[in-house]
This record gives sequence, C-alpha cells and structure tokens, in this order.
Amino acid sequence: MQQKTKNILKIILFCSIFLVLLLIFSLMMKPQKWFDEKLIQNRDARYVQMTEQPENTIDVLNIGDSLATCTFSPVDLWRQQGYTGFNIGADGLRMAESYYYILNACKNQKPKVLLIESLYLFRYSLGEDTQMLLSQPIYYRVPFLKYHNIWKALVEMPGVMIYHRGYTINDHVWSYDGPDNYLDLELEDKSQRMTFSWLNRMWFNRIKKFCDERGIKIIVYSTVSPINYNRKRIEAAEEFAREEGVDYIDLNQRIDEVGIDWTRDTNDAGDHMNYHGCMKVTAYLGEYLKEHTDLVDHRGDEAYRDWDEELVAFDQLVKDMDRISFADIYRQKKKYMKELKKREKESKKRK
Amino acid sequence: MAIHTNLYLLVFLPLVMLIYQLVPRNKRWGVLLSASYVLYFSFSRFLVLLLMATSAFTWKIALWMDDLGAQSAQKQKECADRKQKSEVKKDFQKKRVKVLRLGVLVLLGILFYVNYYNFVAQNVNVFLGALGAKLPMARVLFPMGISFYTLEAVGYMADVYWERYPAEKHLGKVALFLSFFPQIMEGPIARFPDTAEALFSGAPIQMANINEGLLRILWGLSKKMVVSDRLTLLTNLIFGNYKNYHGSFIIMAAITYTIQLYMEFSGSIDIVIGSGKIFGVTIPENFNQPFSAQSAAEFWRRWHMSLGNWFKNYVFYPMTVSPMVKNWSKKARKKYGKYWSMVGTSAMALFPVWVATGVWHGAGWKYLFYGMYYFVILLLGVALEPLKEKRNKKLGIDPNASWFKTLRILKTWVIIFTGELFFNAKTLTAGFEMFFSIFGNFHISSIWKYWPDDLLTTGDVYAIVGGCIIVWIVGFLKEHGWDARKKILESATPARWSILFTLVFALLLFGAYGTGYQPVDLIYAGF
Repeated sequence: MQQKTKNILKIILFCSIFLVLLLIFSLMMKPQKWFDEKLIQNRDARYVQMTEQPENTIDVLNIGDSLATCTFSPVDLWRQQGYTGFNIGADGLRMAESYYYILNACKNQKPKVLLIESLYLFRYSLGEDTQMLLSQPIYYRVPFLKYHNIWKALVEMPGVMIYHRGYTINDHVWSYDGPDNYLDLELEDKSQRMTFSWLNRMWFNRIKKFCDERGIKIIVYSTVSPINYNRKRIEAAEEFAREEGVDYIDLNQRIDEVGIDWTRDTNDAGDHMNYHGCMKVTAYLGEYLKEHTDLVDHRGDEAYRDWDEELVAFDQLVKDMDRISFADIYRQKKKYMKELKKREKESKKRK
Repeated sequence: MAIHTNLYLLVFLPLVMLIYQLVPRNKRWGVLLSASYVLYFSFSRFLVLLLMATSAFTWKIALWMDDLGAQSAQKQKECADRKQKSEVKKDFQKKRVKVLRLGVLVLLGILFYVNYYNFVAQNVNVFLGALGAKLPMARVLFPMGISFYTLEAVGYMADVYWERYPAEKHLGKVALFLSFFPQIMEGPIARFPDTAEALFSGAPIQMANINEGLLRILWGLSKKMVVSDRLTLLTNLIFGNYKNYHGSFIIMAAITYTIQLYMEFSGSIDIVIGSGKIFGVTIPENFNQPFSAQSAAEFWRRWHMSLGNWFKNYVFYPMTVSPMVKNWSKKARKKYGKYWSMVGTSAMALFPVWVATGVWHGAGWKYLFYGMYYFVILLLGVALEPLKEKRNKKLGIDPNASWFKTLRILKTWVIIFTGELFFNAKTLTAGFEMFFSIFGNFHISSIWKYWPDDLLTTGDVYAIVGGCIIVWIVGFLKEHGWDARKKILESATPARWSILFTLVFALLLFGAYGTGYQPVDLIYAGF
C-alpha cells in the first residue's frame, strides 16, 4: 500500500475513533441521572430541568436573557391563572442558543405560547454570532460538549440557585431613582444596538417557522427596564414584531397598568426586576394571555398537583427570603444548604 | 476569525490545508497568501489594502536598495583608482541610507499615526489649550497586527540594507512573509530567512508535520481555554473595580494576570507555530519557560523572544556600535573609569530599546512607564553586578546553589508581577493606586471572605491550578532536557493516539467554552 493511502486511512481511523468516543461519552453524559438536580447550576440547570418536566404539561415558554428570566415567574402564573409555564432563557442569551433551547424544550412538550423578551433580539457581535452558527448545532447534538461543565458539580457545593420552573427568587431591592420619562432619553450605554442584525432575523425566522409548524403562538414583549429600553428601541421592537407578524407588548409604556413601584420593584437600579416587580409583570402577562389565547386553567386538575406542591414550597422560600436576604444566602451558602438539606430530610421522614 | 476560534480550527485551517494540497506545488504560495488575506479581511475588512500596500512598498524599497548596491558595484568597476571607488561607494551608500530612511519613516509613520497620534494629540492639547489652540483628534481604524508586520517589514529592509541577504525579487514572497495567516495577529515577529523560503516552497503536507502541528495546537488551546479564559473573568473584575478590593486581592490580580497573559499569549503562539508546522513552516519560538528566569534580563530573553530579538538586532546593537555611543564610551572611560563607562554605555543602548518596547505595546503613559520600569531594573542589574559578586564572595554564597537560584527566581517573579500590574492597569494612575493599596490596605482574609464565586467557582479554581501544575511540570522537564512533546511524537502509534485522545477529551471537558462562556479575545492581537 502506498504511504499516501496509508496516511489517509490513518486520518480516517483517527477521526472515526474520536467520533465513536465522543458518541460513547455523550451517551454517558446524562446529567440528570448522574447528579442531584440541585447540583446542576446556571445555564445547564434550566436546560436540564426543562427536559425533566412531565410530558406535555407546559403551556407557556418564556425565553430571553436575564431580563426575561427575572421578569416571569411560572409559579405565580399558576397561582394567578392556572397556566403552566417555564423559563428557558439564560443570562446574556444569544439568538442561536435560544433556537436550540426552544427545540430542547419542545422535545417532550407541546407549548401553546412562546413569550420572547425583546432585549436579546438586539444583542449581536459578528464574530461570536458567526461562530455560534457552527458551535450551537454541535452543542445541541453532542451532549458531551453541551454538558462538559457538569464535572464541576462533583467538586463544588450544591448551588443555592433554587429554580422554580426556571425562575429564581431574588428579593434584593435597589431602587431606580432615574427620570420617569426614561423612554424619551438616550440609553446610558451608547454602544447598545437599536437595530436587528440579519443573523438575528434569520434565527428568529427559524424559531417562527418551528413555532408555526407546531401551532405555538409567539408573543414578543419588552419588559420594564429603564436601563435597557428607550423609545427608539421599543419602536424598533414593535416594527420588528409587525414585520414578522407576531404580537408585541411593551410594558415600559404601561408602568401604571403593571403597577411598578420604582422604590421597591427593581433589583439593580432599573436594570432587572426583583421578585416584587416580577410578580407584577407576571400578573400583567397572565392577564394578557387570558385575553388573547385559549389557554386552559389547570387548577384543580389532579394531573397538575405537583404545581400546587411547588407553590407551597415557593411561598415558603419567599418567607425564608424575608429572614435571610438573597445576598446573605449567597454568602452563607454552606450554612443555608445544610439547613435546606436538614429540612428535606425531616420532611422525608415525616412522609 | 481569530486563530483560537472553532471557525478557524474546524473550518478555515482544514479548508486551507485541503486546497493547498490539491493545487500544484508552484501555486501553493498563492493559496497561503489568499488565505492570509481572507483571514485578515475577516477582522480588519478593507484595511487589508493597507497590508497589501505595505507589502508592495517594502518589496519595492528593498529592491531599490539592492539596485543601488548593484549600480554602485558596477560604477566601482568602472573607476580608475581607489579614491574614486571609495567616493562612488560613499555616494551610493548615502543614497541607500536615504531609501532606507524613506522606507522606515513611511512604515513607522503609519504605525505612529494609527497607534499614537491621538495619544500625542491629547497630551499636546493640554499645553496648546492654554494658547487657545488644539490639535484635531483623528478617527483611526486599527489594522490588526500592524505592530507585528511593521517590525517584520522594517527588519527586512534593514537586513537588505546591511546586505545580510539580497532583496527578494518576487512580490508574492515578501507579501506572504509579512501576512502569513497564523502569524498576522500575534506574531512571532520573524525575520525573512526564518520563514520565507519554506512558505514559498509549497512543500506537500506531511503526516509527521500534521501530528506535530496538531499536538502543538492542542497544547496551546489547552493553555488558553483551561487556564487563561477562566482567569480573565477574575482579573477583569479586579482590575476594573480595583478600588473595591483590598491589597491582597491586588497582589492576587497581578499574579493571576501574569499567568493569564502567559497562558494566553504562549498558548496562541503554540497555535501559530502548530499551524505553520502543518505547512512545513518552522516559525520561531516566542517563549522559553520565562518563569524559570533568574533575573529580569533573563526573563526578557525567554518572554516574547521575537520582540526582544528584534529590538536587540535593530535597536540595541546598532546603538551600541554607533559612533555617538562609541565616542562617549571612549571619553567616559578616560574620565570616569571602566565601570562608569560600562554603565553609561549600557544606559545609552538600553534606553531607546525600552522606550520602544514600552510604546510598542500601545499608546499610553502606562506602557511608557512599563518600558522605563524594565530599563531601570535592567540598568540596576548591570550597575550592581560587581557589588553582587563582592557580596557573594564575602558571604561565601555559591551562585549556583539551588536555594540561591530559587531565591533569584522568586525575586524575578516579584519584578514580573509588579510590571504586569502596571501593564494591565487601566491607567498609570490606577496602576500606582493599585500598587500602593498593597501596602496600605492589605487584608489577607478578604480573599476568602469576598471571593467572587459567581465568577470563579471551586471547580474553576481546580481547573486553573491543575492546568498550571501540568504546564509547569512540562516546562520544568523541558528545562531539564526532557521534551514531552517530542516523546509523544516519537512514541508508537497506539500510545501516541491514546495520549492525543486523552488530551482532546480533557480539553473538551475542562475547557472554558460553550454556552455561558464569552469567547475571550487575544490580548496581544490588540497591540
């Protein structure tokens, strides 16, 4: 055999072994089987927990960056309207990622509504987003790469971010004391984009096509955030939604209707909502869903009993939050996790 | 499309390899040149035209000097006597100097304008303001890698002037030397004979070179993705908000930034060298276990070696042998003695080198300070050498004893960390504030009390420490003559493949990449 042919065969063999190993490791990489759910943190947490939801039980998906995940509480939506929801967004989310998050969420679910917080539609960097064209489909299909960070759960303390259908309670208050007419002003960060990139439009169209095929209604909304929104951005988002043929709600022009109290409802001086603000936004979105969709109230339905149980646990944690602030919990996580574990053990014993 | 991105490693590089191998040998240089311009276009857009123009200009200037040299030789042949010959030679030499000056001035002029004009204008305006005048600020686009390819071009022209080698007739060869795609972002700064011949030869891609290249790329990626990209989060936080942190954090930031910079810069150079190796091009090394250095001078012989060599060849040596320095040295020897003449000569040769090294890194007082910091330390090293020898003799210290070497290494580390603290500080003032906070506001307990565990978790710290230990062991073994990379490449295929798979999967598992991690830009690509 010629040396050249030998070399080509060697390369093919090397690549094949690599792919087989990657496949084997990917099959082994089932975080939910390896670890307690609480050990899985941050982005992976929501992603994994979403796949763990009982089949076809989620009505509403909420996606976007940190603005979205801290503005929508599925447990409160349940309390108020009896709809089931899940936050599938992530901090600094990019459009490419979000498409695969939605695909992942719809593997076991048939949601009827997809809420999209508009801020992340503006986020764009040619370099990073071009790279994501290549990397995100790979991460989605190769769990070894997607969950490669999961090893950290082996050496770390259990996280303190307790996820309630993708929402983490944050009761920290840092009031917004800026002008009320923030919509008429320039954004503080001048580098923020006011338009949508062609790549983001492409991803949005893919999301829309996917949702249309499954009968999922898309509602784009801009949550309350003086740091991130002004009139230019809202008008851009509104026009974008019109062009794409989807519903659009801007909450920044409905501050009074939502009932936002700037001294109490924001976590970081008008950037993100805290739990108080989140409850109000969720209530507003819930009313909107009631009026504009045919979602069914599942309260009282035996198949959705776990939601009632979760509501009890959720309210208990909110009470705890009054005792120990979010910041303290974060600092004293060891102590707090011990307390939680103890409580869990006791509750198991009682059962 | 930076060289550490998946787009480069999984798409661009394999595609270039494929096309390179498919085209006839005599056209392969064209593939490399086109690929280089495509890559350059991907981050600097139409500034690729400036790179092309620089290449053509450099090529022309070198040819012009060569032509003048040939004309001089021809005219000298026609001369009747020695005196006439000497006059002709002098005459042409003057013309050649003028051409060289033109070439250097144009290229350094562009570099100055792009890098330093606004900085100079800003500072000049402080004085002009009093007179009611003002220099306009320029809106300048930064051409990626300009500091690297400009030095290569100037070095090439100077070498041709000194007749170290003849000017290259083929424009493509000069253009490829200046723009070879792996090198264009972060160097190393090569000399024409280092790479040009191999780049132009179009040698077929060899299996052994692929093995060596890929192993080197893998090693570089590991350094960057496992250690450096994680440390970036911490150093950015502390350097960006240094007023909120105690001195203990500042010391930690200086150390972690140095490690981050080394892992990142040496890691990307590994990718550069590995990429070059695949095409049979041996790109010069840029690092040689710099943290084993026992003095600041030795550190600079091991760190960013190609920059140090460039300044040594084109600034330090020419200064040392310049008539001005030689005359001064002679006079000083007579007047002040051998010791002070030596110190003075060193100062005169080192000063321009370190001013240039400082400002090469960017426009800002902190960079100038960084250069001056090393100038003072290196000059002190020269000046105190006789005293040190005396001390060692008096105290009976063996300079080769391990404990003494270790102490010297630790002292060098302190010098390096301090230098990098100023280098990475937002401004020179911030650098001083950070430096003095170490002495006035030091609380060691604040490290575990206020550790930003939302940025760097316990797992991240394990990965960083583990990565550093492995890099240190590999470096230590290499320093003692055991080259791990060479051993892997020499081992039998099953063993080699097993190690490669382990490395690949370790990188995929422990690398800071994917969802939740922002790709971290290459630091030296900004210079």
